[in-house]
Formats: sequence, structure tokens, C-alpha cells
Amino acid sequence: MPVEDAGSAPPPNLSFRQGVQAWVPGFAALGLALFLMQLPTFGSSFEDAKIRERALRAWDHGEYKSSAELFKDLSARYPKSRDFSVKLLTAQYRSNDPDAALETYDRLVGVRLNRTDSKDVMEIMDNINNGVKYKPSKGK
Amino acid sequence: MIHFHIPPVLVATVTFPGVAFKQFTQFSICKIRGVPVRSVQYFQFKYPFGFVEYDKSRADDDLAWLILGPFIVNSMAAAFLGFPSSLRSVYLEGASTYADVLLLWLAIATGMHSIPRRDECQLLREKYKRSVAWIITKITIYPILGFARLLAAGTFFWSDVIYGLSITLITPAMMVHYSI
Repeated sequence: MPVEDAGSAPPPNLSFRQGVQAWVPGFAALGLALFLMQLPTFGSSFEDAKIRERALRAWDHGEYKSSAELFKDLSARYPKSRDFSVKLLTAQYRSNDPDAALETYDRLVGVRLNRTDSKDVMEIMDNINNGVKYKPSKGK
Repeated sequence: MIHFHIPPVLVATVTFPGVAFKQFTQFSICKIRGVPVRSVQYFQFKYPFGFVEYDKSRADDDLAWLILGPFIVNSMAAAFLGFPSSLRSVYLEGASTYADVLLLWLAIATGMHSIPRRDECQLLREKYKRSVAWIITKITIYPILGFARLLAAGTFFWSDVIYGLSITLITPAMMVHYSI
């Protein structure tokens, strides 16, 4: 909030010590400390994020086999991840590897799925049980 | 357009570290530039939620540093602080911890409150309009000021929250996307 310099008297000037309340640098220090705590795992997180991006790109191009390999790697490191497990199972089914998909399904027990994912997983399991193979839609 | 009205005081209270960090940066810049400071309010429950009362009769460059400095510095700090946590929270489901959530909160708050107020933007614009500053200075200042004014004008439509989320969450996403 800027103020006009009033009259000839010099404006009072707060020193750094007078102007800073302890809790503000305290919060800044907390942020820095948390950041430094996260830093050692930053490299591996960044690499994992890149693997996820590669897996999704392979998925988008219909390369389910390579996508499944990348998701398998991620799923092993993040066993609690619903997204990685469901994507892995789907990629394995779509790359005509039902045995691997069944193995992944066994590991899905204990992973909390949402309604859409549950429906997709059940549909894949039904297809595997009935011997129905994945057919990519036209244009893919 | 659907607009959910949440009282600004509530938003500012929930994100109070961001309000305080902006005043801290502005106060620090005042000290670095030798601008006299009359008072500092890091947080209060009324608008403006925080302020630094400094001598207005300063050179244009000082004013540009004081108004756009916290915007640039705190935006960068927000992107930097939130980087590791947003990677784990957005990209790697199941990997984020409570520390990540806390760090993201601090980063988003810092980013959203880095935006200068409308009156500050207006003041800087008026100063530069009347000044005989170097054309290169104006070319540097005007785009940043224009962007800041746009964000400041859109706070009713949550431009501050959107900005805070964007720099914290989209910067890592873009880095991952373009690093492959």
C-alpha cells in the first residue's frame, strides 16, 4: 500500500528487525524444510512421472504390450495405486496376455476401486473367462 | 458462467501464509532498494488482507520492483516449492504423503497471493504512462504488468486460485511432457 510522502518530515522507516514478525519467516522455514525433505526422492519421482507419461503415450498409440511393461514397473513400485493396477490389467488383456492379466487381478484384491474401474475390470474378467479377445475399434 | 461465491476473507484466511509471504517479499524488496517503510501488516481479517505501507514518491523503477517483484519472486517460489509434491500427488497416485499435501498448500497459497492488487497495478501503470523511462524498460515492464492486471481484474472469477493451481501443478506436468 503506497503512501504519499507527507510534508517535509522524513517518513518513519522500519528496520528489517522491526518489520518482520517471527511467524512469517517461521512459515517460510517450514516450507523450505518440507521442500528439502522431499528433495532426495525428487529424482526418482521425476523419472517415474516420465515412465507414466511414456506408458500413456504407448497406450494412446495402441502399443499395449510396451504400455503393460511400463505400467508393470510402476505398479510394482506403487502397489497402492488404483490407476496403475487397472491400466496394467487392461493393457495386459489388450496385448493378448490373459495369464498376466489374471495375475494382476489377483493382486488387485485389497486395492480400492471406484465404480467405473470395477465395471471395467469385471468386463475384462468376463471376457477372459469366455475367451473373448480384445478387438481394437476401427480407426485405431 | 457458474460462479460459486466464497467470501474472500475465508479464502485469504485458509491461504494466509501466501498473504504473509507476499508482504514479506515486498518488505524485503523495500529494504534492498532502500525504500522507507512506514508499517507492515502481514495478515488481517479485512481487505486488504495484508499490506506494506511504503513511500510512494519513488522512482518508477523502485515502484516496478515493489509491485512486480513479489509477483515474479513468489510465483517462482510457488512453482519451485510445489514441484516435487505435485509430481507425486498428480502423477504418482498413492505416493503422496501428508508432507506433500502441506507443501502443496503452501505453494498454491504463495502462488495465488503473488498477484498484485488492482490499485497497485493501476498506480504502476499511471507512473509509467507519465514517465520518460527507457523504451526497453517499458517493453519489459508492460507485458508483465498487463498479465498481472488481467489476473488482478479476474479475482472475482477465481483467477488467483486458478493461477496458484496452474503454476504449482501445470509447471511440473509441462516439464515431464517436454522432457521425453
